[in-house]
Amino acid sequence: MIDRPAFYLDVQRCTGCKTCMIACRDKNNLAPGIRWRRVVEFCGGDWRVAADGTVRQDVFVYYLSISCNHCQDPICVQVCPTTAMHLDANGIVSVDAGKCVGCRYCEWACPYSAPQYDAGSGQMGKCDFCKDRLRAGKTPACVSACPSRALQFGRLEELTARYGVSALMAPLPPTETTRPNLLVGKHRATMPIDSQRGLIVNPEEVKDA
Amino acid sequence: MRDWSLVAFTLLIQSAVGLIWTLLPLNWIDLPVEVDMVRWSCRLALGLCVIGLAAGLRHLGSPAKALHAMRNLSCSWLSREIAAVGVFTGMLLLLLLTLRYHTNQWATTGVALCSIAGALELYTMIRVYRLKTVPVWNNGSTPWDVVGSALTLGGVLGFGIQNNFAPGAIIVWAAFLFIFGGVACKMVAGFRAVGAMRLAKGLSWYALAPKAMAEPIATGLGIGLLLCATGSVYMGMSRTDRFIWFVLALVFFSVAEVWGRWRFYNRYFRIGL
Repeated sequence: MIDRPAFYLDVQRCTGCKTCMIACRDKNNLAPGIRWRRVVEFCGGDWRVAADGTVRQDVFVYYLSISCNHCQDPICVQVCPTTAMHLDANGIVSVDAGKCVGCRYCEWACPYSAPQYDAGSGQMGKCDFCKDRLRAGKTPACVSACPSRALQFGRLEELTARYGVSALMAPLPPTETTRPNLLVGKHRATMPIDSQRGLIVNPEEVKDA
Repeated sequence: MRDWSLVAFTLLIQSAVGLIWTLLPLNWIDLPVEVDMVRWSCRLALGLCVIGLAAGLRHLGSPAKALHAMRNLSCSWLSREIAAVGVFTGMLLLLLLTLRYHTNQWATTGVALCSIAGALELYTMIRVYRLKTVPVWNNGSTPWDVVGSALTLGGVLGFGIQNNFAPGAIIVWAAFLFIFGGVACKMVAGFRAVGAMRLAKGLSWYALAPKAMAEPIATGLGIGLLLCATGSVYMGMSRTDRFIWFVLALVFFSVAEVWGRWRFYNRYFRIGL
C-alpha cells in the first residue's frame, strides 16, 4: 500500500461536475447531508470601467474538490479527546469507531470541514483515502471517477516532483496551519489566499456547523 | 453551532467554581466559620457539577463511550477539561464527606483546595476554545468571558447562601465584589469579542449593538434586585421576602449569562472552508 498518500487537484481542469462527491457517497454509502468530499464553488468579479470608458466584467469562478487532506500536522488528531481520530503508520488520518464519542470537537477545529458528524451512528466520519481500495491496488473512488482527470493521487514527494509546489488560493486556509497532504494546481483566475474579491457560493454544501 | 447542552455545561460548571471561590474570604476575614454555609455551598456546587456533567453527556453522539474522552490527556485540552471537571467534582464530594466529621479547620483548607481545582478547571475550559483555526474564540475575550461568568454567577449563588446564614455580614458584601468583578470581566470580554468579530466577518459596530445590549440590561436589573435583597435585611423583612428578591435577581443574571453564552457559540467562525 502507498505510503503517505496525497491528493493533487488541477483547478484549471476541474469543471465542478461533482462526480467525485457522488462517487465518494456511493462508495462509502453516506447518509444524506454527509459529504466526505465536497466541491467548493468560489466565485467573484464585478463590472469595471476601462480607461476608454467602456464597461467590462471580470467575473471568475473556479472549483475546489476537497476532502480530508490527511495533514502532516492534523489538528483533528491533536484536539480529539478520545484518540479515535488518529494518524496511522501509512500517514492516513482515520476515525476509530470504537472510541469516537461524537463530541464534534474535530469538526470545530478542522479548517477543511473534513470530519463530518453522522447523527445516525452518533459518531464522526471522514475520508480514509479508500484504504481498502488502496490495499487492493486500486485508486480511491473519487480519483477513479473524475472525468477530466483533474483529481489525482500519489506520494506527496512524487506529486511535488511532478507538479511543483502547491498553489495557495482562496478560500483555502494557510497551509502552515495543518500542513495538508494536498497539492493544488493553479487556475487562471486564482485569487490569493486572503482575497476578499470572491465568496463561496455553495456554503450549504461545504460548511458543517 | 447551536447546542443548549454546551451552554448548560459551561455555565453550570463555571457557577460551581465561582460559588466555591466566594467562600475564599473565609480564609482571610476574621469570621466564625459557619460550617453549614460551607456545607450548603458545597452541596449546591456538587449538584451544579452533576447536572452540568449530565448536560455535557447530552452533547455527545455516543454518551455510552464517554469514558474514552479522557484518553488523550497528553495533547487534547478537551480531554484535560473533562478530567479537571472530574477532579473538581470529586474534591467537592470529599470535602462534603470530611465536613461530616470535622469542622472549621478542614472547611477553610478544603475550600482553598477546591478553589485551586476549580481554577484549573476554568483554565482547561478556556484552552478548549482557544483553537488556532477559530479566530473569534482564539483571542483575549474567551478567558475574560469564562472568568466573568464564574465570578458573576458564583457571586450571585454565594450571596444567596451567605445572606441566608449570615445576613448583612461582611462576607455577603464580599459576594458583591465577586459580582462586580465578574461584570467588569464580561465588559472587557464583550469589547474584545466585538473587535475580533469585526476582523473576522467585517461586521459593523452598529449592527452588533442591539443584541449586545440585552446582556448588560439583564445584568443591571439583577444587580438592582440583589441590592434590594440586601436592603431587605436592614429593613427587617422576613426570610421569605429576602428569598423572593434573591430568586428574581438569579433569574435576571441567568438570563443574561445564557444569552451571552448563546451568542458566544453563535460567534463560531472558522478559517478556511
